[in-house]
Amino acid sequence: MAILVEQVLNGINYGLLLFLIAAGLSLVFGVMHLINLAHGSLFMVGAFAAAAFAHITKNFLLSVICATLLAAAVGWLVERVIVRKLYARSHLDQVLATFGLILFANELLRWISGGVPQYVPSPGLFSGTVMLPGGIEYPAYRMMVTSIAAIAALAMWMVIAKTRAGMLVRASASNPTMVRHIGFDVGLISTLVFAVGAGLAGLAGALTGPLVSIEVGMGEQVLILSFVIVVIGGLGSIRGTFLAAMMVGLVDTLGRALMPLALSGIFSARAVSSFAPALSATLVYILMAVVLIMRPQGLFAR
Amino acid sequence: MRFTKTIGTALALMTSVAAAQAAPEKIKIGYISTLSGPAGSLGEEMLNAYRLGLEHTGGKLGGIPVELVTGDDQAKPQTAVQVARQMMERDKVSFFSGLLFSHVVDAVNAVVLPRDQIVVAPVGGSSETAGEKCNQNFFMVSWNTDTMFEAIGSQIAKSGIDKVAVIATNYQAGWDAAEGFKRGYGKAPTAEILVKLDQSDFGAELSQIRAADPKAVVVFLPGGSGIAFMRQFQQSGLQRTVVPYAATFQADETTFQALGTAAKGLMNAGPWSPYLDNPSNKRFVQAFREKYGRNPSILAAMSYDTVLLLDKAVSDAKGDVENPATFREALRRAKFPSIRGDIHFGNNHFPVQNFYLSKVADASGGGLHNELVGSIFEQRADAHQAKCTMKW
Repeated sequence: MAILVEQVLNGINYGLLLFLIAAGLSLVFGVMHLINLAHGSLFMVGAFAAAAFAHITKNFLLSVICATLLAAAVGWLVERVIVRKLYARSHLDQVLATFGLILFANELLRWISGGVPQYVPSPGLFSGTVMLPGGIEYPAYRMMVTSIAAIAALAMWMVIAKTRAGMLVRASASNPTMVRHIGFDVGLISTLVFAVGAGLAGLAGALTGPLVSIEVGMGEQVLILSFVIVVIGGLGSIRGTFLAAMMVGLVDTLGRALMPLALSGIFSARAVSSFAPALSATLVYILMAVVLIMRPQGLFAR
Repeated sequence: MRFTKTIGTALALMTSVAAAQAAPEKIKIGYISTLSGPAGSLGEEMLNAYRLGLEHTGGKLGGIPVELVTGDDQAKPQTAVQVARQMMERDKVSFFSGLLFSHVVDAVNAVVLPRDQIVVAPVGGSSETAGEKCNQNFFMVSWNTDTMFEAIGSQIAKSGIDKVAVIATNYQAGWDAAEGFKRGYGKAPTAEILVKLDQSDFGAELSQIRAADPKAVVVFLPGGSGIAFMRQFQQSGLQRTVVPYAATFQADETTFQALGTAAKGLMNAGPWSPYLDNPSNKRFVQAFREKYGRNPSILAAMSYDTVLLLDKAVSDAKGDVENPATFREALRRAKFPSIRGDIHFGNNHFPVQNFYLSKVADASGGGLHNELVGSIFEQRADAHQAKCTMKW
């Protein structure tokens, strides 16, 4: 029982992190109809920036905030200089151009970092474990990441659903021409949305830093899963993205933990040990296939 | 009578011409390695050590000046094959060296070995090249990875630890490592967890390990995956009750920077330590420290040792590296002053050598180092030798 609770916590943790990354992707598609392959690079920028700021400021929280702001600034710049020109082009052109951005970002960071994985210490206060009710020992850092990611997700929902700015974003998504005619600057809204998406990806990168190896190419690994989430949730729907991210996080984590147990009754130990990891790695894609068969437009597409 | 004399003189003249040809004025080494991409820093480290080795032999092998022709394989087999072809046809290299990853080694071997070109690789062996696919033209200077895990298994069994978890990547090298561990340990581990390549979140696996309540965890996760695991392992609080074990090449100067304090306490097994007490090793470690301000990694060590082996073999072959049969014999029997002390080649051209246990600890001058704890195996051959039909 304890192990199941721990796994559900792990799944929620993973799902929230994935949501932070996928939310930007989904927003950018919803408002600007842009397929942005370089979104993973912004995640990488966040992680590298947090490592660099952590060495300068010696303060974890400050480094996360700085990294988030820097990723947002990079997003702003990239939107103004490059991405803006792509809105009117076909999806194939967008994919090609943003793939070029991935190559550029990877080479640039390899050049800056020397191609060596970076290290960022986990903050002293959160380097141990916490005791949860029921005698479950859980890493304090994961607990904190879950909290920050949950707060960020909640804040984003509040802004989009309850504020005037959020209303404008939703309006631009459903009818940009009308928004322009009422007298709002759709270009500015696009830049803002892109920068916020970049900032969220940067935040996810900064928070993931102490958990993984910060290296060139780390963005591409999360990019594929983010696209799976956006497709499952329905392109452009934030609510759908949130639910899909939680589903993917839980399915992936619980699959890895429970698949060997589920299969052990049926097959030999040797077969299970090589087959179960392969099967659990594909679970997420099976989930996507099932959703696409039932609802080709995704769970919550408009 | 006169006739035979003339023939004799002619023969003598011809052999002297052949002898003059045999010792070339220059040896060209075709050095292929991964010098760019995520693993580029490993290739760089090895090339630095290779150059240091050549510096120590005076830029010569067996007294003959050397030209190092380098090529970047980008860790891609098809690129490596192109580079190898170019080196054979355009550069006319004398033999091949360098090499880092086993899948690249296999590709290069496929085009190079049938043309009777000799390959002397510092690392990148596999259970196949050590076993049924062993080749008379292929020499592996360092190890086959599963022998290190055999050493870890044997060490854990010796220290009486009864509950062990194994975590490895779900592909050939991961299975080899897990099998090697079981061979050394003598029985199945309490938990065996296989994960996909490049996995970075280990929440589920660490909970499984916690549930199995082992005293030791044996880790084989290449690249960033291993770094991510060690960090999350440290944050999980498991390191208070579970001792982590790994192969030395994943717990040395190439990963210290990325691991930080998460590396501390990591036990590791390998055929070399910077603290081995022999003149070659002392000279190497001191020179490397002077140049780079830290201990060499085990990959650097194997690279340097390759140069020492080549130096002796070329000298024994009297410089006749263009003759594969002579050069091969010299390599097989070379008694070279290895930085690993006593080593020799088994029938499969993989080394028979000692294995040591090290522990990552704080260094006196700050940072981390790999403290030599003790010896595990004496003159150990890999487990695949018997499957190799080569006799010499």
